[in-house]
Order: sequence, then structure tokens, then C-alpha cells
Amino acid sequence: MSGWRAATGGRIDRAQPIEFSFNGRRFVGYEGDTLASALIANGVDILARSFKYHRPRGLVAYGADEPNALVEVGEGARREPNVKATQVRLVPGLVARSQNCWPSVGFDLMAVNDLIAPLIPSGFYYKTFKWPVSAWPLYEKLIRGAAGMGRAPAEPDPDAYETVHRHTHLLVIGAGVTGLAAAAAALVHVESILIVDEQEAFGGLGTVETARVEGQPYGDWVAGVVALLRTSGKVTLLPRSTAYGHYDGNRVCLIEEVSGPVRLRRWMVDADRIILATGAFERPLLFGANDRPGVMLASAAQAYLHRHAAVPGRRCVLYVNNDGGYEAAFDLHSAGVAIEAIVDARAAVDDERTARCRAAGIRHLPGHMIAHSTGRRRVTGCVVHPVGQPAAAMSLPCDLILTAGGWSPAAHLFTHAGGRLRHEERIGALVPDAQSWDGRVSTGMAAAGACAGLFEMADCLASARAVAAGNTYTLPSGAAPAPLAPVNTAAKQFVDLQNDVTAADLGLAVREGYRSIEHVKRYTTLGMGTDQGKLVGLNGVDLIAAAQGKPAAAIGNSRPRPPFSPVTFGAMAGPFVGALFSPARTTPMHGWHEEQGAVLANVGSWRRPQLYRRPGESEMEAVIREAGNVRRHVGITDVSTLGKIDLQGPDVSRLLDHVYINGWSTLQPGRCRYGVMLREDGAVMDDGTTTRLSADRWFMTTTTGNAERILAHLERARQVDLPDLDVTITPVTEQWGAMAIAGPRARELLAALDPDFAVDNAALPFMSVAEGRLAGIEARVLRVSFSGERAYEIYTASGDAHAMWTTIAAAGDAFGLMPYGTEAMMTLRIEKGLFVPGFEADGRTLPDDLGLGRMISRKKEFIGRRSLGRPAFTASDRKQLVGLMAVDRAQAIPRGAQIVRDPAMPVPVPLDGHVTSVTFSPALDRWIALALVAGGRAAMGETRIAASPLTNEMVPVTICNPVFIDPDGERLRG
Amino acid sequence: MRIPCPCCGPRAMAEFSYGGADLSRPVASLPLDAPSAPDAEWNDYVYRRDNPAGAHRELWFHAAGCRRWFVARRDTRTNDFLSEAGA
Repeated sequence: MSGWRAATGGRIDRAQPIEFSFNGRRFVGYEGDTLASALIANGVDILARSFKYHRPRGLVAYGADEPNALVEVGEGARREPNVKATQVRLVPGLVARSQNCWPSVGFDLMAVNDLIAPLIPSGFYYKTFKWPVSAWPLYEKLIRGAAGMGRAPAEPDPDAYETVHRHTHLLVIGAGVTGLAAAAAALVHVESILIVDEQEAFGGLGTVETARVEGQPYGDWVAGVVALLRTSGKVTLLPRSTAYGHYDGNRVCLIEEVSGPVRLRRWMVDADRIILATGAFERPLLFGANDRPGVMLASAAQAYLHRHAAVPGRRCVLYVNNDGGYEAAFDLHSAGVAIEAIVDARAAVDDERTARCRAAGIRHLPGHMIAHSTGRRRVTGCVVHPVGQPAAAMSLPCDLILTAGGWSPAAHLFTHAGGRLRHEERIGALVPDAQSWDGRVSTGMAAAGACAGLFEMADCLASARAVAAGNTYTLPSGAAPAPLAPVNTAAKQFVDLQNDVTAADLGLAVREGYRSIEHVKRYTTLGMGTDQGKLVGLNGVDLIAAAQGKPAAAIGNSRPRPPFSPVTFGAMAGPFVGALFSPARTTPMHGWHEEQGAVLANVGSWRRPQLYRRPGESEMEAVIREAGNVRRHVGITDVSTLGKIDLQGPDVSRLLDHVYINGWSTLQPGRCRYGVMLREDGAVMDDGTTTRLSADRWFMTTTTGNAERILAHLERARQVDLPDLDVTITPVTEQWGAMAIAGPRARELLAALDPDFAVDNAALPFMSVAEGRLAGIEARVLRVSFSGERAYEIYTASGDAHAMWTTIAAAGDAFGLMPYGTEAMMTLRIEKGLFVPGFEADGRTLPDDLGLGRMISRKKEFIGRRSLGRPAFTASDRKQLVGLMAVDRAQAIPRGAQIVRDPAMPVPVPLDGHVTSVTFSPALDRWIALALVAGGRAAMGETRIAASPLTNEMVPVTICNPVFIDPDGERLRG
Repeated sequence: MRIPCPCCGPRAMAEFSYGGADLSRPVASLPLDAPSAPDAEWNDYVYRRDNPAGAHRELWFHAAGCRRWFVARRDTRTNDFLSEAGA
């Protein structure tokens, strides 16, 4: 219990206390706190248990690099696991909990893992649980029980999320001094700028707030630039927004924390150019037991002090290897923290810092290092000795150890984009290599400031202005931090605090033969936690390099991948959940179908009536009634979902000749023709009717599912294959509503609708069209049939379709009219032996397989024609479309059954084909099916077995003509 | 990612659909009165595709825009569009 709140300072509002709870205890923080700063101020040391050894852990960092303080926030459906306490804004009533511990964070039974640590080195699971193989399911269950981070909420997410798309000429990521300077410099020549920062307030974290920028106090300079950007009219400023990933084409995804009805907003930003001003993460120094609560980054302690007046200790030892870290000790000293000592790994320290230590009365130990921390559940002291002289060790009492090991540029997005990092000796760190983009057309990503390895204010400003102008900035020379030799101590030195990877683990991995840093990473889990190893990177590289006896530059780096910090699933899904997940298209008659209580089903993107069940009817009884009524009287069905394409111009027939297997030049105005399209490899793609309304105006229908695909196909044929044709293609699916009336009494019904055109068989024969007024509504009537019955497709403007439908429904009572759904439609088309894409035409089926060989024109070239001559495509044992009838009239044919000659044959039983569509036929009063059977047309009348091993059914079937009813088409044409 | 449509300028990728490599369709050189065995040229056109690491000429369809089919050159390593060329 050593953290406390300073009486003054910080950007907190002491007039607005905020109550919150952590692990069931109530605490009070202030407006402007994060959960982390409030816990520090309340003296909470232990926030979590480590992943593998369950050691007690406290806060180490200030932001996204925090490895330890993963907590569960919220309750019930709003419970969110694995949240960094450093990134949670304190709000009234906040409820947070520790995770990965039982029964409590203070007393965790799994901490026994820490005692047996010598028995579980890196690769322990790989080495131990591979034998015997059969026992793995048991091991897996036990390991999974012991592992895991946090609990996902069990209820649906009650919050709302948004997705926004934006193009910007320049995206500036990071609004510290560098990012602000870059955006301001770009104002003169860039049209639109988006500048984002994780924090609530612009200005960055890397800057000491007492600093001066270009002669002004830091705060004034920031306020001035922000005002300039805000009033420019060119700049969108996005605070509380994290750029979490860079994707192809300079797309950067952001998550913005929003207050109001929306919780998070995901931005998908396409940027012409990107300036990375993401700053740098401080690198911790390693020593034994460096994971005890009370060990923290020097910059983090500074940030907690300056931003929240939260002070993480009362007696502090600072451990540094560079000049920068000293400021933290001086700041804490001014705030009233006793500085026990400043331990500097370098033997030579400049006079200025030595003098300031002396003036402040701080004990200064240059040329020293910390061997290990002491304490049980938190730091109570440390053991320090001169570098290379462990015998001269001394103990220093303290409750806070701050480490400052230099800075590691936050170049994550640079590597997301495919950029390389370069090891810069000057700062002992990896920096973005501007030459990564050589030879590329567009990359437009440049790093500036600390992200480019520049830590002096003047360099940050100069580099920001250089990259804003599209230039590069040349690095100055500077002092390098002293590289540290690994400490030889029995206590564990943690490189990766989140995954409990120690320096010894890395050494073991190298001794076992792992060389590539990517392999060492995966073997030891170094940097694979939710912090993505932001703290880990450089120390890991240096230790692996040392173990291999190579310079750090030869090791490279493991490549960080998106996301930079974890993203909530809800934000990924955005608003596209529930009804918006896949918005349903409905036809103009949808309301009528709902009123009638139709069973609706998804067909592609549409909602369509499957059947109209009457009270007391089973679904199957309804389908049989509807289909039977079409054969006996007349039915009406909604076919508005058919793809509809308007074709105009003098060359339409030439385009149709190119895409259809049959010829079109002879089709006269007023007539329709059925057509089949192939892919270039010869397989049947789609079918439908095309009608010639007049000399140069045509109307095509496609199957419901292929409407968009056929439009693209036609446009491609016109623009790419036949660019000289004069044809205009217009999709009109949404403009027309359509309904089919089918059955022996369809013509009587049509005539009763008061058409102003003749409907007798001579005037409107099969495969012809009439246009005129029907029931007072402009209509287009196609005499085409998908049932084998006398049938008419009636097209009206979408807005008139509902009126037409209800008029027909009212007039139809006298003729025995009933609506029928897609199930009865399927029954009718199976009875008639009509194929549909997706069932019979499955992407392997050729026209001849479907019995369409005679339709193929020999007089023209068309898409797919030349593929049809392939030897495999003309073989006699190809699967051909046939009908099947169960030998036992009462027996159902199993869906998807395989066709075999004799199921008793030795395994593997040769498969002759498969059932594609099954229905009970009311016309035949028995089960029938369509099937693709090898050599099927030559096997009429033979018996096969429809075998369904899944349902254990073996049904004898007879192969027959697929056209079960009216094979001569008398009902159709009559 | 944005794709340069020769008609509409650079637009979001979601508006486009991909049309595969830009291959010239072999003209019908074989008699039309009987299906003949396809030749090697046709076989290549239907089945064989290069898989270059680098510039690739390919077709794109601005489906949710002007409905223009066009040829673009894309670097398959970086997804940079290298130049624009109409269909």
C-alpha cells in the first residue's frame, strides 16, 4: 500500500469524486482518472496474477504497453475481459475485477506453478504432453482448464457500434508535438487531414509538461496548434481514437471511443499519405525478480504524476542507462518522493546530472546495476552492486523501482504496411527504415519524431515538417545508452511479463537450436500476449543476440501484426448485426404474404413465401394442396425476385448469340425464347427467357440467385469481348414486380381481368408476349411456364404489383385460384423435369448432360462452345439428368442419396450418380426425384439403389424420363 | 484500398468485383458445324493462369458504380495499382 495522491497538480478535477469498485471493494477516484491511476492513488499494489506462474503483478506502464494489469470491466452482458486498466477511463459506478486468479488476486492457489517453475521451462507443453498420443484429449482438457484469460460475457452485447468510411489526403497518427507540427506544416498544401490520438487531450505523453516548445510553454504551444488546425476547415481531429491496423492500399482502421448512444465507432480510413507520429515506448531494464509489484517504467510514473497526481511510491530507486530517465527522479523528488538512489549502468555520467543529483541530495551510483529486487508480495528493496562486482553488493530499501532503458519507437503500423525496421546503434533500438518503400508506387507512410528514433524536441519538430513536405530528415548524432550485460542471478528475470517468459527461457530456446527470432517467439511465447510484446521487443532481441553471439542488428525483429491493441468484437461487427447482418430484400407483395401467414424463407438475399399453410395443415399437406391445385385449377405465385434486364440497341441479338448456346437472330418481335448460358469451361451457368418486345428492345429474365452475376457477365461480354456492339444493358429487377398464374384455368382468369389485348391461344401462344392494360394497370404478359401448365408471367411496375396481385386474388375465387410458394413451385418443376442452377446444374454439368444437346447452335460462336468438344465432355458415361421413381410407391427417396447398383458390393462401392431434387408428386401420387446418373439416358427402366448412409436408407428406384408429366407439352401449349 | 476506375476515379474496393487475369479470348478458328477437340491455345485460355509476383494485368468490374469493365495493372506483392487502362 504505497501509492498516494499528491495534494496538487494533475489534470484531475478534485471537485468531482468518482466512486468505483475493484475486486468488490469500493474506492474513490476523480474525474480525469483512469482505472490505473485511481488504483495507484488508492494504494492498490496487486492488480493481477501472471499467466503461467500466477505471480502477483502490479502496474508497469501508462498506456497500451501495459503487460500486467488486465482486468474484467463491467457486469453481465457488458462484462469485457482482458482490458488494460491503463486504458479504462474512470466513470461513476465502474466495476472492475482481477482475472486469472482463484480464489482471489491476493491469495491464488495456482501460484504453486511458481514453485515448480524449474519443472516447466519453455516448450514444456510441447515436450511433455506428446506421449502417449491417445492421452492428448485428456491433457488438453486439463491444460485448457488451467489456462485462459478472462471470461467472455454470456449474453448478447447490448451496446451499439458504428462503422464509418473516410478518405483523407493525409492521415497523421499521433497528436503529440511531432504529429501536431506535421499536421500544421501540411495545412499549406494538403486538402484534407485527419489527425488521431489515443488520448482524450492532444499533446502527447512523451513530453515533460514543464518543457518549452519553440520558446513557448508546452501547453500554450499545443493549444495554439490545435486551435490552428481546428479553424483551418481542412482538419478532422479525432481524440480517444486508436489506429489499430494498416491494411492494403493505405487503409488504416481506427477505433474511436464515443460517449452517447454509440459505444465505439470503427473508422476505415483510406489515406493518400500517412505520417506516423506514434512516439515510442520506454524500454524496461532487466534484473532479478523484476516483476514484483512496485517495479515500473520511469516515464509511466512521471505520466501518472503529471496527469493524475497519482504517485506510485514513497521511497524510490531509479535504474537508468541514459540521461533521459533522470527527469522522472527529479520530478518525483519535487512531488515529495524520497529518492533512495539513482543507479546508472553507465560508468561516465555528464556533469550536469551529477550536479543536479548532488543539489537535490540524491545518492548517485554511476557504474552500478540492480541485481534483483527484494520483498514478498511487493517490492521492499533491491540489491545493487557495481557492474562486474557482484561481491560488492549492498541493499537499498525502497517501495518503488523505476527503470529507464531508453526508447523503442512505436513503429507497429509501419511493419503492418510491410515496412522493415532497421537497428540503429545510436539509440540501440529499431527504427522504421525509410528505404522500405523503394521501388514501390504508393506507400505514403513516413515516420517522424520519436517513432523515427528522434528524441530531442528540435529533431521532432524538424522531422515532422520535413515529412509533411514529403522530404526525409537526416538523423543527427547523439549519445547511445550503454548496452547491459544480462544479470546472472537465480531469481527469474522477466522479459515478457504478460506471458511469463524469462531471460533463461530465451537462452534455453537458443541452446535447443532455435535461431530465427520468429521461431524463438513462437516456442517461448515471447511477445505473444495481448500487449503484443510492446515492452518486450528490444530486450528479447538483445538477449537472443547475446545467446547467439551476434550483434542485435543481425537478429532482426519479430513482425508485429494488427491489431496494435485489442479490438472488441462488437466494434468489428459494427451495426451489421441482427436484422442488419444481411438485410432482406422483399417483393412488392410481401405485405400480402405476411397477412396470409405465409411461411417465409431466405432465398439468396430475398424473403420469399415457401408455402401458405391453412389451419390444421402440415407443411407437406400445404405443398401438395398448392401444387395439386395448379394442375387442376390455377395458382398464383410471386416471381418478382427473378433477375430482370432490359436490353436495347440494334445489336442485342448478336450479344445474345454470344452468351446463349442457342440462336437469337430469328426471334421475331412479340416472341420469347428460352436460353441457356455457359461458362467458358462449358458448364451450365444460368437459364431464363428473353423476350423481343420490338426490333431493338429486349427483356431478359435470369434465375433469382444469379441476377447480379448475369448482369456482370453481360456487361463483360459487351465491353470486353464485343466492344463494337451497340447495346445498352439496364438492370430492372427492382423496377418490375412479377407474378405467375399457372394452371388449366389460367387463361380464363386472365381473360376475366379485362385485358385490352387478346389472350386466346392464337393471339397469345406459348412463348409470346403481350403488352397493354390488365385490370386497368399497365402490364407485360409473358406466356411462359415453369410448371408445365398453361401459364402467364404478369409484369407490372413495382408500385402497381401489389394492386395487380390483390385484384387477381379477388378475381381468382371463381376459378379455384390459390397462391403457391416456392416449395410447390419446386414440386411442379421437378414433375416437369426442369433443372435449376445449384441443384442439377452444379457447375460441372454440361448442356448435353441436362438433355439440352439439341439446343446448341452449330452456326455461331458462343461462350463455352469450344470447351464442349473436350474428350471428357463427350464421354458416354457422363452423369446425365434422369428421373427416378421409388419402386415401392409409398417409399420416399432420400435427399442427396448416392445412386449405386448394389450396396452389397465390396467397399468402395462404385457410385453411379446422385439425387439432385426430391419431391412427393401429387400428380403421380408417389415420390419422384431428379438425379444425375452415369450413362443414365441409356438405362431407362433399370433399377438402382438410392443409398443414404447418413440416414441408413436403401431405396430401390427405377430410372425414367425426367419429364414426369405431359412429355409432349400439350398442357403447356394448349 | 481504393481502385482506380477509368470512369469514376479512385473508389473504395467494396464497389468492385474482380474479373481475373486479362486474357484475350481466342477467336473462333475452328469450324462451327461440329464441336471439335479444343486446341492448346483454348486450353491455356480456360484453365492455365500465371501467378506472377509483381505486375499483373487483370480485369475489374465497377459493379456498384458505373458498371465499367476495365483493365488494371496491380503489383500482386503490394496491391499497388500501377497504371490505368480502359477496357
